[in-house]
Amino acid sequence: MGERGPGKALAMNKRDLGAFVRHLAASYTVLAPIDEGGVTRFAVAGGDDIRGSGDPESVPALSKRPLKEIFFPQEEVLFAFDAGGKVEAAAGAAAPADEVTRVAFGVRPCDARSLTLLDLVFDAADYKDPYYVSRRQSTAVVTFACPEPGVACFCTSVGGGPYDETGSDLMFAEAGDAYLVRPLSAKGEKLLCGFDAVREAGDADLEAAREAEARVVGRVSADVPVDAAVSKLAGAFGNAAWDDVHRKCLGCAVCTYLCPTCHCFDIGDEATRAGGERVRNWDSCMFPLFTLHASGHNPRPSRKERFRQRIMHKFNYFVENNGRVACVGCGRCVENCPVNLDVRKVLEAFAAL
Amino acid sequence: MGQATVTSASVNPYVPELAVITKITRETDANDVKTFRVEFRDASAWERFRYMPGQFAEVSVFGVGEAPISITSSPTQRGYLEFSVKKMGRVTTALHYSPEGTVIGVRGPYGNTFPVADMQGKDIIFIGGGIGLAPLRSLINYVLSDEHRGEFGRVQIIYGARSSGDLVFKAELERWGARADIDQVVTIDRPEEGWTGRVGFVPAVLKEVAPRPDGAVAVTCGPPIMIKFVLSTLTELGFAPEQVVTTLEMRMKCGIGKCGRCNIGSKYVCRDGPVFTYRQLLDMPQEY
Ligand SMILES: Cc1cc2nc3c(=O)[nH]c(=O)nc-3n(C[C@H](O)[C@H](O)[C@H](O)COP(=O)(O)OP(=O)(O)OC[C@H]3O[C@@H](n4cnc5c(N)ncnc54)[C@H](O)[C@@H]3O)c2cc1C
Ligand code: SF4
Ligand code: SF4
Ligand code: FES
Repeated sequence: MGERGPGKALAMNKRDLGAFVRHLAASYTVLAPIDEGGVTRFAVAGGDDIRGSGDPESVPALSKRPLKEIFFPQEEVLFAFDAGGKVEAAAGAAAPADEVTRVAFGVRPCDARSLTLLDLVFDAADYKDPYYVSRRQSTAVVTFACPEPGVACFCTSVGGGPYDETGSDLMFAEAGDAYLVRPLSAKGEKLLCGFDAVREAGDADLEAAREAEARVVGRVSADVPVDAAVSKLAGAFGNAAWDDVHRKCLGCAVCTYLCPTCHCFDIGDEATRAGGERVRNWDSCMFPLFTLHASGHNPRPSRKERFRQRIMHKFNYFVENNGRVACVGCGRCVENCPVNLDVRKVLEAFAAL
Repeated sequence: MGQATVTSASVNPYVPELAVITKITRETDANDVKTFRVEFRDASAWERFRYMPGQFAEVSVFGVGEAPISITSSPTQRGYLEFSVKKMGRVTTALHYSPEGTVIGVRGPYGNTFPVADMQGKDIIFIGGGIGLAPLRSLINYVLSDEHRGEFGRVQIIYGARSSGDLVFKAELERWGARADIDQVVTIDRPEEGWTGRVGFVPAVLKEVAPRPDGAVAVTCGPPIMIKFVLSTLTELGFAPEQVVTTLEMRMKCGIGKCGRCNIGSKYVCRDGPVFTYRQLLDMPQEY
């Protein structure tokens, strides 16, 4: 192992990345963005597949499906019950929380940041969601600084950025033939233990890293006036602008399913003859049934109210409750909306009010 | 094993306590409202389930699902909980078909409580419509209990339903009406043969009764349209928005501020409510 004094910058040659992943896989379950029939998502993969498709030395691209699903899966069993009323909590809630068993590898900074927003909901002071919290505690997040922001990215407008470290345990950043490797927590520190190819960064690495960062900065093209929009939205619930901005929306909910910070869910029972399971599934404020009362009354009867809810939740209600916007600027909702309803344009419209 | 794992309810908020239905009371002639008395199967659950009037629980029929239901019993009534349930959809219908002895799930208590401390020394006017009396009943019986009666002033109850057959808690209405420390008016929407009580909608009756706002708090619950007119009538009668308390309903799932569906503006009804003052409602978006 090279010299790794405190405070010294570390580096790893790109050609050693495959070995590092194998090193991790020997001790942890490694989840990386895997291509599943054209859709990339974080999943367990074996062997060479572990780096996702393509060049094993390159940085994995932003996955189509958000990182949240390895902590808050689209569907999960909360507990099972039998016909006699015995209840047994599902394994997810009982996982040993103090030991790191999983590594999310190849995360983008926006997705890492999203976890700190989900924490505010699922790891709140009053009620903890044991399924989410135990997965979160047992998972280390290995992030790659973003070498190539996408056309829909606007992370820098919501407090993040291609080199944002929020939510990461270990950070890799481009440095020519190598990566700078920065542990950001004890969890991240531990991932490097016993991996000999990590060395102290040399002047050439640091110079290459500076150049790489300088190339990326300014590449996030969008400069969305989020702060101005947030302050305007505070009084905009009844504004006539809502009559227009939602118009194209089909109510398909793709924007919320793919959003790394959306956390709404449904709870329901699936019965079998011998008992059944209580299951939760992602749900969406874009669906009319989301708020439909049993009486037939619906407080959000049309797509206008539902679209307003999505925007207001992220850029007003969440800010009021938690002091942060519930958006990391990943651009997934922009890229995947079938009618190109662009959240950046919506924010611009309100900022200009 | 079942019993042992159920104790984990305190750390896993999604796992309900098990409770047995011990008594079912048919409330309405149409039999669309029943009151279920339930007892926890594990006596230690009472330590985890300490509630105050105004709170609700997620009640589940295993294999069907959960529904948020107000706790209609008062914490001064020990050893059981009561839920009055109107048959509306899947879960509430399944409950209606559950006989005594059925094991159901109960998790909670959730939400805030009626502002009992702020009501000390004040006259309280209860204004209920239909099954909206259920959450009020918890507070009424709390206020009327021997332990707490001295902490509050006069009690006035104005309660109405569509017809006499739709009135809930009839036996209790009789008991309350007979007490000297309560003024009670019961009304139905249209005249009926043999009905000797008041006839008229709750807001109209409220206007006639005209309770005085000085040193008083009004607590109201009922169908949304009734609440709307009661709020404006109370304002006409001189009640300040701070003096009026109501409890709201939104569709709910988690009950603990996570599933994201019950919000009105930045407030989650399951966590910041269901009890709100009219003052608070005026500052919230009209989206409920
Ligand atoms: C804080 C609070 C306190 C409450 N207190 C009480 C109380 O004390 N007593 C009481 O009786 N009620 C109370 N309620 C209301 C009660 O929670 C609802 O009546 C109950 O949740 C209805 O559940 P359900 O499963 O029976 O109906 P559901 O089956 O969920 O819904 C009823 C109707 O909704 C529609 N619907 C729902 N899901 C679907 C779907 N997937 N597809 C199509 N349509 C659908 C249908 O039209 C259906 O008939 C309270 C509510 C809240 C929020
Ligand atoms: S993805 Fe687009 S069309 Fe679909 S719900 Fe979201 S905004 Fe509406
Ligand atoms: S709102 Fe859109 S851009 Fe913001 S975090 Fe969600 S998916 Fe990404
Ligand atoms: S019921 Fe889930 S957030 Fe209120």
